Amino acid sequence: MRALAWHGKHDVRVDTVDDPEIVNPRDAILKVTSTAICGSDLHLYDGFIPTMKSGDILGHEFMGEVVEVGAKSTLKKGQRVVVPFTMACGSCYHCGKQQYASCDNGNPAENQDIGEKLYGHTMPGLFGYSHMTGGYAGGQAEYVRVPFSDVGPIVIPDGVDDDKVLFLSDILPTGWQAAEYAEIEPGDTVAVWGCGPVGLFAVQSAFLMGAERVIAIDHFPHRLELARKFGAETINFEESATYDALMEMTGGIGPDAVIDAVGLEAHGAFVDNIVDQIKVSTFLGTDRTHAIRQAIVACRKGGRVSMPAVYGGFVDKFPLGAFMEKGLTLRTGQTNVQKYLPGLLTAILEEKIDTTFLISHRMALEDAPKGYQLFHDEQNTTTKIVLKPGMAAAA
Amino acid sequence: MPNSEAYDDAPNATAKHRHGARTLTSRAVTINRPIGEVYGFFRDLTKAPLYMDDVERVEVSGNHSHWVGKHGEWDSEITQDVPGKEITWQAEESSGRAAFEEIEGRGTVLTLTMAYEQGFFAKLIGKVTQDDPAIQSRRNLRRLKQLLETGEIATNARNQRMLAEENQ
Repeated sequence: MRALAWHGKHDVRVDTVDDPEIVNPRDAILKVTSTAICGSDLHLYDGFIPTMKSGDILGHEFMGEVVEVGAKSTLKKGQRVVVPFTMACGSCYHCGKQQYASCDNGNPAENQDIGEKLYGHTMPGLFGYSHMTGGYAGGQAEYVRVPFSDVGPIVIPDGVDDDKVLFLSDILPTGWQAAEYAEIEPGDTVAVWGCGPVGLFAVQSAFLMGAERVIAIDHFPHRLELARKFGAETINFEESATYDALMEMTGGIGPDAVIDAVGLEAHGAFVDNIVDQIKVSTFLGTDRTHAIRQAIVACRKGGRVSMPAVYGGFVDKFPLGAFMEKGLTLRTGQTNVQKYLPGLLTAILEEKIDTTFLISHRMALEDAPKGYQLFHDEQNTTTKIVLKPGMAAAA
Repeated sequence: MPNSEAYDDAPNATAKHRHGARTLTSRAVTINRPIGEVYGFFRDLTKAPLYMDDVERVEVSGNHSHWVGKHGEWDSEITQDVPGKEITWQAEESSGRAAFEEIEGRGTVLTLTMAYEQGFFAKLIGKVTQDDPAIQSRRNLRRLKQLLETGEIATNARNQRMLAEENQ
């Protein structure tokens, strides 16, 4: 089959590789019909995530048609399913508490060592996202092997277009969980850093959960325009001073909840960010964390901090004093996708949540390397690229 | 026993200062299954190759067992067996204990403790080749947990050929 493989920093190629097969009883094999490039794939593309190997197949946002099932899969051939990017066994202690992203069993025994050394505990298994999270082949391919297919994938009713439901795999539940972790109360003002896909879904989710106002922060005009379409007020941090603006817009109180949907590659010419960039490029640090610092400082006293953004390593200049003195609460983590799927599928079918607005490009799988470059270079207008393995490559 | 003068309840194998000539290693894993099932599966030594990467075959006769591994063969004798609670054994160059305890709502805690002869260089080589007993046993316990909780052992092999290569 053809598959998009990582070969190094800014080097991804579509290679011909061996087809996947049923390996374990609970597996299923999908013929991929749609697969998106995620903002967190850019962290791999930029070489920020350790434990990548040349030839690793990327992609953790995908859906497709079931073409083969193992003896213990509950799926049937011909069904269309969306697959959560986090693998969950459904039977360990954490899965029992619906903390699916903390599943003990998705990651092969040898690969669990890395997470245990680095984070104190093993990481869950993820599709196409380094060997620390299992070294599983991803879905930016013609076919993909899906372990625990009896727990994760959600069956999509006939007649519903791929583009409407594809984002159930990651970014929609991630935005939803971010808003849930903000513990929104009626009348609240919520500030969202980053108007990428997760930030934009967090904006929609926050309103659905009863937020009175949502203030979205970015520097790409097109992304701010999209946030405004969903009713958010916006701050362009290149034009205005974010902290001052937030204080004035909230009567000096600050937002009741803040959401960092930016993560470890924060943009912007701020002093701390420039120091972070130098440290990262000289291997003295790993993460650029301007957004979360600013969010903590702006959050109202006793407020909530929600951090769906991806971080990998260590940070300094973390405003721990502000965090403690203001009595803030922080909730974060990979998304417990399986927990939210049924409710969010219903919300899509009832048209309470709009998903297709996000897609700026549809491309053939063969054109995926061009897609990565475009997504990397043109973040204003490239909001989301969906790869269609069935589509012919552009001439 | 914990050192009472230091008010330290930590398990012996976590001691920073080594006592005696042998290396002591221990590790606990919580398996979300009833104690009878975890004990029973572990007690059936012929099932060991299913989750112990380094073991190919076990021949059992009463309390005596003969183990055929990837790097050699050895004999072992069960010295104590309290069903649903504890198993201890003595092999040629090592001894071990498996303790089982049921925790309400979380399943069974299996604590595996092993004592063995290992010089400085053997330990160093073991880390490089990844067949150090401590490394092997923590991975084996993870596989046992996966097998009992999920019915299978997690692998990133994309197909049968890659799985066969992995198991070599």
